[in-house]
Amino acid sequence: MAKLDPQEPVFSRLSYWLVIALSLCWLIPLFWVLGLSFKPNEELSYGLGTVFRAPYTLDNYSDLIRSSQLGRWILNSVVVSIIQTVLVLIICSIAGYGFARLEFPGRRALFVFVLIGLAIPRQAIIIPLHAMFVDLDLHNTYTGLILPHLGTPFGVFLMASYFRALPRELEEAAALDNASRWKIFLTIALPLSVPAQITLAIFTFLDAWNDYLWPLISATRPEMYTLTIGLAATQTNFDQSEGIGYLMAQAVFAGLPMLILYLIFQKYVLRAVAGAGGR
Amino acid sequence: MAAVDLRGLSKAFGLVKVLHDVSVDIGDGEFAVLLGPSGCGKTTLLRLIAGLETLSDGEIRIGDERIDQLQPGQRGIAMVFQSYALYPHMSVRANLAYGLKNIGTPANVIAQRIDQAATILEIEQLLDRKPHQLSGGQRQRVAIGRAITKSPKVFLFDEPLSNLDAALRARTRVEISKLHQQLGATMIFVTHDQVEAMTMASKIVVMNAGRVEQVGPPLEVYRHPATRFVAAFIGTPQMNFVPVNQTSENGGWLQATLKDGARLDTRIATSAGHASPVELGFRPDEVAVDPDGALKIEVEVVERLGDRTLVYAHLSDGTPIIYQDHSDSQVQRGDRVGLRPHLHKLIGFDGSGKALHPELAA
Ligand SMILES: Nc1ncnc2c1ncn2[C@@H]1O[C@H](COP(=O)(O)OP(=O)(O)O)[C@@H](O)[C@H]1O
Ligand SMILES: [Mg+2]
Repeated sequence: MAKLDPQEPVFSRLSYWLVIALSLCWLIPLFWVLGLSFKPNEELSYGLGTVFRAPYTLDNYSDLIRSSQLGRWILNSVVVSIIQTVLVLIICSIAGYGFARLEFPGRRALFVFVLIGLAIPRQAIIIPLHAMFVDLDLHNTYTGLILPHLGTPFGVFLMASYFRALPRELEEAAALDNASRWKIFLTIALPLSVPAQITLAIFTFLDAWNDYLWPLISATRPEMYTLTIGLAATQTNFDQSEGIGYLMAQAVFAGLPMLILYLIFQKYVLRAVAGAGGR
Repeated sequence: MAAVDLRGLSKAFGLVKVLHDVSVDIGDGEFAVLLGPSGCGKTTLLRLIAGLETLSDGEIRIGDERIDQLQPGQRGIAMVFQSYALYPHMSVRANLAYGLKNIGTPANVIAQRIDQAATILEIEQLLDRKPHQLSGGQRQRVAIGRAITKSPKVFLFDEPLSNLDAALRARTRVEISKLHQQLGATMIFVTHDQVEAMTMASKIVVMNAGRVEQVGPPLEVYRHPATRFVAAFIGTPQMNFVPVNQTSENGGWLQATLKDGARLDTRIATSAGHASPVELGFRPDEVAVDPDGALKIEVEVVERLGDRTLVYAHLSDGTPIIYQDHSDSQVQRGDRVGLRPHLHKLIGFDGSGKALHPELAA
């Protein structure tokens, strides 16, 4: 982003201060949480204002590591999110390429059929899905958590659009170079679609990480909780929890993986969210 | 043997027919140029040969083998695309190697072929770059290099020079001609630029609106255009066309009366029994300035090119006439000049556009 430049018109200086004000709105609660997490619970029970003065402690974090299943829940979330992301990328790339480049009867109709999936809210199918997974005995397994989210119309649509926009001549040149369709997909189309893959990966990962409704139904045993479910479960039992400092430490811990990922993929997240996806 | 034989090719996209019964024989080692205006179907014809489009009708042979049912990769051809179509994520070396790897060529043979192609095209120092690190001219060389490494029977070029600047285009023209002599392969080159066609081709295929108008060596196409379209398309400045009002016979030859009553003698035989011309054509350098000449023109613009003078003028009925004068010509804007077209060069065109050629001078 541009540095503050006194030569620039008033408008851009204004927007600069606006950005600072807005980011403060987001940052203050985060620092609030962070501050509370370092306070002894007993002191916080006198009032939250105590956050501004010593003593500070790491007890909440050590309690957390010793007593809760948070580590397990984070692991579950990581496993589910990563596997789901990888599988979604594979499935959507192949399906998207098929819709973009292969000629087969009923292609249009099938594509429309897939897109109709965009209009069906997940909540609408959750009861039949639950019944089905009971029959298949898939609840409280990773498979059970991952499987329902693998068919993503949005991903298929995104990849199909991206493949369609790749210059056809590249693939024709490859065909003249004796590459099979499969080889063209793997060695030409796929490497060139990396920007779209990254966009889709980020959306899928965020979606999986933040998902609440399905894990709430599917994971009923605490050791199969994902992070979202685990945290919610602790917080609804506020009376029995060891106090607000402890809860805040939990929240910090939970947000950490996302923060790290964001720092690594910052450039791509911004691009994905800005909807560029392209070059 | 890599003669290319196109027999009765037709191609329709949906209901739109873009090629109509195209038949051309291209000899082994020949440099054939497909020439025609934008949209006439040149690229489509090339893509049919390459196997990137399927034929609606007809037959394609290379040598003795019928290839129109084969996969693109199995036809023994290489194509240089107008956009070059280099694989953007691969180095130049990988671009050149890709086709050979796909048919399981041993690594040492691939390296050797790449070296050869790189030497011929002087791109040795570019081999480890990516396409986006190359200039337009260098990309074009790499695209040709990718074709050469495959040692195909037939090279197809789709307007490969159109993205280059004028100086580079002229140089590359010469280089492609050299390459053709060096490799001795059959080449089919598509262009809408008649200068490229005239300078490079051993055979020109003039196309118009999906049909072949004429096939022949450059000079033949230039001197004996089969149709009005060919006559107008080839040659700069363009051939002049003068409308004919009436025709009569004068000693066995056709005599034309123009709209202003002027009479032009020709050496087009009347006995040949063909339809009478509605237009007469002659090239700008096939006239003499002569106060008694049948064509009375008024000069509009004079271009002094140094070695010659181009004069843009019009007849009294507005028909534009361009003629070439010597470099010391004193002609001025507004002058009235008489022109006498060379008797043996006047070509007639009948209502359907077919050319009626004069008898050769004795
Ligand atoms: N895939 C296609 N679908 C429909 N029409 C096409 C297609 N490709 C080319 N055409 C049409 O065919 C005609 C010839 O095109 P093309 O072969 O590209 O001409 P040229 O290369 O001589 O400029 C044009 O009118 C073009 O619009
Ligand atoms: Mg074209």
